[in-house]
Amino acid sequence: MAKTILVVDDSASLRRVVNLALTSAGYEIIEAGDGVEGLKKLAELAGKKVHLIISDVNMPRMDGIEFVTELKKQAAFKFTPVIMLTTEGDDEIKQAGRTAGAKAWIIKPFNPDQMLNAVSKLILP
Amino acid sequence: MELRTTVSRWKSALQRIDPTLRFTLLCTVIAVVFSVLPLLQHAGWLQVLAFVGVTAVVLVNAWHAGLMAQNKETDEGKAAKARASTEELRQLIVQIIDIWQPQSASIKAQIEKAGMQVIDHFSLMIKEFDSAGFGGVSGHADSSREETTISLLTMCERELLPVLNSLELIIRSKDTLLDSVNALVRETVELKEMAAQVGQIAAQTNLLAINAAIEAARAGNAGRGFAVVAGEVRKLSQLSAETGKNIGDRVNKIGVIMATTLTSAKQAAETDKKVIEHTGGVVGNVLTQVRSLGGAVEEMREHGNTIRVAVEEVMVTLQYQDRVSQIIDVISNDMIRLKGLMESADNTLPGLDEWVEGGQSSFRRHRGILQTAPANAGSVQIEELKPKVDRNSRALKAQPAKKSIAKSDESSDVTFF
Repeated sequence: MAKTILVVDDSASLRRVVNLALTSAGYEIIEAGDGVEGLKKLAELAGKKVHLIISDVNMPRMDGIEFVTELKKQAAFKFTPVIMLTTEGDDEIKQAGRTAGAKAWIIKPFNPDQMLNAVSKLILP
Repeated sequence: MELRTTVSRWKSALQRIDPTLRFTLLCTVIAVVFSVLPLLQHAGWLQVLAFVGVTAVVLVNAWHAGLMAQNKETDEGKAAKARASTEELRQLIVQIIDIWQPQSASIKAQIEKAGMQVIDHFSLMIKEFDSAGFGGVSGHADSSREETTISLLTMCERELLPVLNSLELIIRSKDTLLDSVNALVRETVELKEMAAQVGQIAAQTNLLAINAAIEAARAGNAGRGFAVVAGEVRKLSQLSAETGKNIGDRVNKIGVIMATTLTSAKQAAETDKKVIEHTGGVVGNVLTQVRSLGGAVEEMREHGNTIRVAVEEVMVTLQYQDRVSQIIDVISNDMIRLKGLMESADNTLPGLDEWVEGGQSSFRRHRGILQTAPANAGSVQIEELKPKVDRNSRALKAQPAKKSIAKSDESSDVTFF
């Protein structure tokens, strides 16, 4: 059965690139435009397991750090690995992501191979 | 020269005076001169000099007072004009921002749309690419079709090679069969000779029995028993002669049949050999074609890999559309703030640092990039950030312009916590 990954990014084209890279490797993708929509999509899943979450940092309404912080408050996603996919590279913001509960930090633009390697390392069985 | 300069200065000073004031002063001078003219006839040169001096001082004072009043009016006019210009400038900025905002939104939408279309086209290309059996763009995609093609060709070769060997084996076994039939024919000839020998032995035995019967007759009563034995031996020899004759006949028949069989076997072997050799040739040709096809598939796979790497690079490059959108968001956000500032009654303008720090935190860094970078920052930023994909290792080596990002890249583009 295909593993499910939630991709949260305000750029539709970036979501499409991530989607393309991951679906070609056999993953099932759910997309959300920002943190608020991401939490809504997770709530609508009705028990369906999400194996990994990829989130942007700079997003309108709710940014990635806030999204991950909110996510980790929910018991269902406490151990769901999160990858931050962003143009940001400052140690300060990275530390914020780590504190929020992210497991990896990928700087855009990303190479599909790198993304898949990171996903395969972190994804839950 | 100095006199000319002085005159010129005075002339310009006079021209700067308001025409009404100039006229009033002129009239005053003329009135005073004409009124004192009768007195000057009786006055000495000191009185005249004093009169001229006093008149000059009065005139200069009046002139100065007039100039001051005029300057005051001019300053007030300038200030009013400046206030009006500032207000016009504010209104112009607000109006321009109102034009720019939808334009920037339109640019963002068009870039997004175009980016999506390009990605969709590439997505379709990759799907077709996968369907053609060259694996996915990511290098991790399901390459079962490609494997199937290669496996099929390998299986063809693996299965056809034994067929070729089996055909050669059949040819050899046919030769063996022919040799066996030949040996059988030779044995039949020997059997025929043996049958002839049996006939000879029977004839000699018969002769022996006849002689024994003669000798038994000579012996009289004593040889009667021996005569019975000799008769039986004779019967047996006759029986043996018949049997030998029968064997000879049968062997002859077998010999004829074997000769026919040998001829047929030779003809069949010839025919089979030709058919098998032809079949072997066909199988060999198919095998050569399969090997050639395998080589072509391998070559196509190499070309496919080159295209896949190129598509990967495009996929990386397309991500700059996201960055461009973010920069447009920052500009759009700044335009909204600038418009708000222009529409507010507050006349104090923020400094650059205050302006950069004044935005929402989520876009502050991008704004920082924009504000601190040179005029052509957008293109420079994108060019410097363009990652280089090594065709061999396909390792990403980004070269960000931003110092903090570069520091991060020194270790890796992917940081695991």
